[in-house]
Amino acid sequence: MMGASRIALVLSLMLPAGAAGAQEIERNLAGSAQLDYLAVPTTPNARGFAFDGFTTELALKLAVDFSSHVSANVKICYGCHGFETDMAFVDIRLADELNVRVGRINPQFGDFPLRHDPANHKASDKPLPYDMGRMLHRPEWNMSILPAPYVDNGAELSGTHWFGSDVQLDYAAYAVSGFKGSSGGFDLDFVQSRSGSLYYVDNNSEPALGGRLALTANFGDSANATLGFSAMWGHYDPERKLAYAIGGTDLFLRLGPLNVHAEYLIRRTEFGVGPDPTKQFRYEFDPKRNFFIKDGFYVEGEVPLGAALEAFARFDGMRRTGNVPASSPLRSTSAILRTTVGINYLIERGLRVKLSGEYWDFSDFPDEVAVHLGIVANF
Amino acid sequence: LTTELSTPRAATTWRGVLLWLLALAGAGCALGAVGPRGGLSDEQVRTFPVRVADAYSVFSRKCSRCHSLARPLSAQVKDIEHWREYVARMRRQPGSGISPEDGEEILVFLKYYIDNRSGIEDKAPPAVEGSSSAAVERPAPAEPVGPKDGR
Repeated sequence: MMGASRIALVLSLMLPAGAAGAQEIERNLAGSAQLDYLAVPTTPNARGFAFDGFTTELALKLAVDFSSHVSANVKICYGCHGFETDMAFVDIRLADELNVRVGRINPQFGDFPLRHDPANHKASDKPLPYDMGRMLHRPEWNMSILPAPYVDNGAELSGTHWFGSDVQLDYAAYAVSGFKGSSGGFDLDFVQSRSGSLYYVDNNSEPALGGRLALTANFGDSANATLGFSAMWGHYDPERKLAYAIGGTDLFLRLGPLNVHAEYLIRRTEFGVGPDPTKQFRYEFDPKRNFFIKDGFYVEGEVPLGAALEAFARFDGMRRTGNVPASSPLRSTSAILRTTVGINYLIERGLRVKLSGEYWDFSDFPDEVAVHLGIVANF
Repeated sequence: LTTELSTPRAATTWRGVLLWLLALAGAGCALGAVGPRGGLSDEQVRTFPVRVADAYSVFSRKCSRCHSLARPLSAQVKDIEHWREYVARMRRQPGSGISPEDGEEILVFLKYYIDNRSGIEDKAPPAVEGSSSAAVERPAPAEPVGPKDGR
């Protein structure tokens, strides 16, 4: 009886929306495309450790507002790994304070994923903690902490509440399939996690859980700030023995024309020890240390220089601490620091050129210089 | 670092980058006007009624938080009710900083923009009394955009 009354309540909330939706359905198609060329002048042939040369990223998104309470989004992306479904979800909004999102979603985590589309950020590549395949020495590092965009099947409850007109509180909690990996694996397997070859289904009959909390404050017309905290937890192996936990904090500041983004992410990942741990690892195996820590940060500032030119600078880094497989070139503590400076030149409103130079400082490999030249359009 | 960059491969890369930039800068000069963060140019905004110019200021500050202003300005949305749904969805994005009052201000600008888009984009925007382009007839100011009944 209690359940029936709840269903009736939800239906009653949906009915006006359904009536409006029958009259008119609003659709909008948007997208972006980026062609980028990555050159590594300090190494004659960088293909061994990076996707240098041309890469293309394409996104097409259809947003449909059935009513003020129900909307749907489908976004298809094309990148180095071919076509992927970045979004395919329905939002059911009961109030600003309660939104239910179900389908293939981008679970809320941090600041950068909100602007992960290449048309929405100034650099050609992503900050190191969120890198998805463009970093140098990608295979050795097995990519980043949380490659963006993180896409998964599941449901998310979220909401936003304003205290007056200057303070906004955002919150979200979700259950998703979670990252995948092999039995007794060393790390998350990002190919398994997004590949359709293993079906887009859970691999261990257990959801991963996560959430985010963020506070935004406006300080007059020209300044505002957002401070957020995010967390995620789950098992990645089929037997549910190997856990991962990701935490993060993010800060956004706008001071007049200057935008500053800063984030710190940390992931604790358990690994399988195998039948003979003495041969499997590069360093002596400590049964109490069957995990590694990967953490990283970035600070990025951007400012318009006149109407058609925008400049940005980014300093980011990533560190891995813990035992490594015997064949790994990494040490028990390995780190990367990267400094990036660049400009965006707006040829016209929806078309910009991105040029940036990067200095990579590796603890385990020779330092490198990289240059990105890209062109990105949004429509 | 200096030694590494003086190799023939590096020199070729930098020359290529420079040529690209020069070509694109030339293309940019030949194409249309653009304002900061992919928005409207100062010349375009100066022709707006004061109320709309104020609303554009809110629009440009709030809507460039997560994306270029080219996104909304290029969107093929021609109906203010559609924009109302869209702005509400954006307002609910985490950290948007768009309060319900800001949302109404943004709609004031968008209403004016969809009503006068071709004039604005053709760089022959409607003149405002006292502006230098007074030869162009001024359109009726945008109607205030109030909340929909029942919301």
